[in-house]
Amino acid sequence: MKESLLRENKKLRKINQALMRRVEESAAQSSTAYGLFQNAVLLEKSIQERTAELSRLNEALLGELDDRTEVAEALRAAKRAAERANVTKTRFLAAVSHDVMQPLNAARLLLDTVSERSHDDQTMKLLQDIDAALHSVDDLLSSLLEIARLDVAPPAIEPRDFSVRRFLERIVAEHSAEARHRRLRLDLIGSEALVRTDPRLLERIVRNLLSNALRYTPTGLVLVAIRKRPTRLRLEVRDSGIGIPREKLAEIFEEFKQLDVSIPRAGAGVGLGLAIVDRLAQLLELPIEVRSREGGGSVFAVEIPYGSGAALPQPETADGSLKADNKPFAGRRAIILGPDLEATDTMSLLFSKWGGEAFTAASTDEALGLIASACSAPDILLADYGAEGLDAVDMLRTRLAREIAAVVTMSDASEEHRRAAKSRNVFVLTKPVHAARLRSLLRHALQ
Amino acid sequence: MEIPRIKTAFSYTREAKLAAMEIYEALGRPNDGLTIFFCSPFFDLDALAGGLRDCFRYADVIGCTTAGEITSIGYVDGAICAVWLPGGDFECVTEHVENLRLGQLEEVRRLVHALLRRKRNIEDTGWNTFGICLIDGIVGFEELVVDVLRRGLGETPLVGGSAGDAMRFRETAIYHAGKFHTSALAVALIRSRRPFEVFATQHFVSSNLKMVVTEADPQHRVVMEINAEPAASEYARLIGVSRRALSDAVFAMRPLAIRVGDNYFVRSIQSVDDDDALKFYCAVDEGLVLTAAGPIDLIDSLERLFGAIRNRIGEPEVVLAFDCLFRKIEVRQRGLEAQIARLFGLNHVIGFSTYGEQFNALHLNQTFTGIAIGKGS
Repeated sequence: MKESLLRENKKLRKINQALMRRVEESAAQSSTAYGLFQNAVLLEKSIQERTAELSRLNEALLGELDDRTEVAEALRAAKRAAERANVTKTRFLAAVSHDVMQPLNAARLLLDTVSERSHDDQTMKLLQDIDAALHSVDDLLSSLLEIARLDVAPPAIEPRDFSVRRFLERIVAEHSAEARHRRLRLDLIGSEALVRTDPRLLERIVRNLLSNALRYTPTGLVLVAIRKRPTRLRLEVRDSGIGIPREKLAEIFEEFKQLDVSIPRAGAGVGLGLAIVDRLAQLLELPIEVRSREGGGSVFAVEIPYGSGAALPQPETADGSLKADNKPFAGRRAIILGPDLEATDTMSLLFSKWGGEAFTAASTDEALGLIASACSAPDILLADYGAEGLDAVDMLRTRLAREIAAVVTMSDASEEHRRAAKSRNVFVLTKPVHAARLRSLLRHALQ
Repeated sequence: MEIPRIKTAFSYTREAKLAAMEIYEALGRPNDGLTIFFCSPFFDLDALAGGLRDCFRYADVIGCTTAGEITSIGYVDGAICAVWLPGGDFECVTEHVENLRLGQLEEVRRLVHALLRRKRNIEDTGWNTFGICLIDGIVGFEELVVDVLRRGLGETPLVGGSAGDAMRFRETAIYHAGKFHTSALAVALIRSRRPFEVFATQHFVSSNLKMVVTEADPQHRVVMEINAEPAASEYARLIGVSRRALSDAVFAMRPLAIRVGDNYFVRSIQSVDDDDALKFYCAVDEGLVLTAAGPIDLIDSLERLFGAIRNRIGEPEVVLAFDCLFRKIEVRQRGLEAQIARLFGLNHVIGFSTYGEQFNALHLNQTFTGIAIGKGS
């Protein structure tokens, strides 16, 4: 008797404990599987009530909607008409381009024949000018024909996996003569990776971007960069050229927009290259982005999905050995922040050379966007901003709620700035930046 | 303007490639919209995937293995059934993730982001969006997954089912992008001009018989003790059957339910473990009060549901149903197969017997959950 009472008592005590735990758990809004279920039930009820309220409102709005439907129908009709007009225009262009091409070829042939005879210098100069003029008409018509073809009968897309670095090396090599001719530096940076798209059509995109960059860069550098982003590979064509005014950025992909006419030069662009790029990118479903500052160069970027294989192994050094010491930042990720494209690019190039992965951003907003798309914070922040770099570091650290290692560059750091940096645990790098200093400082900051 | 018809099909052939072809032909060779299929795990799944890939090529298809298929002739086993939502009236985006493990939801979040990004392509005014999810029914993470989905998708109605493997409880497979995937999740967001209605219904009433979970492992959905006694024995004692008589039929007819807010939700028992513990199809925490529930008329509750649907959206062109496998067991126990077949036929039901049903953010057991799609005008 006593035995069973004791047992009963023990059981009740255990039940009691379980119930108490449960009550506490409920009050704590737990995120266990069951807790989620319970919250979901309660939430569902309030959603249902709100939905009922909304559907009452909806009915009131329905009458209003009927009127709008008529407007929408009219708009659709207008859109259809516009589309028809566009198709007609395209067909017309194709026909005209083709018809003009024939006499043009004949004219160039005739010109060649005339040029072969000997003439005085003045006449020779005139003949050369005529040839240059005919050459640009030829270019223009070829571009027009290509656009017309893209609009009327888009080519079949044949995506496959291929190595992007090797692919770009070939294209860049083919443009190096033109770059030399224009006295421009043409470089390719970034390591090998596998991408998946139609290489033939991508080649046409890159060629157009590259000729455009070479054409509109009077002096300096054209850079083709491979950047590995978490979800897609970003292929950039950067230049230190004339840039594009902010208000014109949206329209540069339209036909016949060529912003700068102040560099009269034989074969100067006809503004159709970008319209072709835009059509091809849409066809391949590759997002395309332009960043530019008037007088400060432009960046055209295409984002390409990775191939099914992982990124290819890094090419090894000539003797086949990779000295660990050469890659002090292997596995590290840096965000390099700064308004000056060339400066951030150089630092990013160095950081990748030292084995790390670098992302460049022109603003803190862009940096946050990068971090969000990568779903993880970088190991180090490098702000090439002068004294304002400190604010940028503060802002990013606050938003990420993490004290990320940080370096700021300053050309002449006052004692006050140095103190401010020190109190924030931010390292200061004085400009001009030397690679060796940058490396040792980054190493120090990352420890 | 002609309204494209939703089509359904099923095949009994055991030869996987042939089954894929039969389905494809019967659906009218879809090359747009979305095809959703449910198949027995006894098919040669590699061959079936190959067949589907060959037939459907680039058209969107999702599907999963089952604990039985549901067609217009009622409950069947060992078959494949499918529904095609035609591209003219339905636009969809689909995504999947595979090899999911407990506590590993980052991939699911990525899936939601991918869906939302691609969803922009199908957005337009005047059309409404709903979601369909097919989730692995073995790993035991449905509550966590639907929570992530709901957070990402907001108030887009979402229904789905936990894939089954004919009650072997080893592995389920979910099909998307031309392949079957294990421990996986597939989600389709579908935008349609048609009227539709999502629903979840059960046919139980609670009793005064209550018990307390005193020891549980909620992550693995195991209840070790009820009322400080070994769980299985205590459950058997309370509902008045012998411990050895516990079976799927008993679990189906005498389920346990918990109360949240004003409603009771059935938490189904999957099996009895060797050490007298009960394994559930959903999470059960310590300290929960379980109430023994008794069935009410299953046919009547279904008739009322279909009546309500017809009132709202007219005669449905298809009802996509995620139906707890215990309901099939109960129907067979009670000999209601013919009545069910008549009801499913009249209302154009297609679907499968699940290990659990998802309704918005809820992971449910022992319900008839799904979406009815109207004919549109």
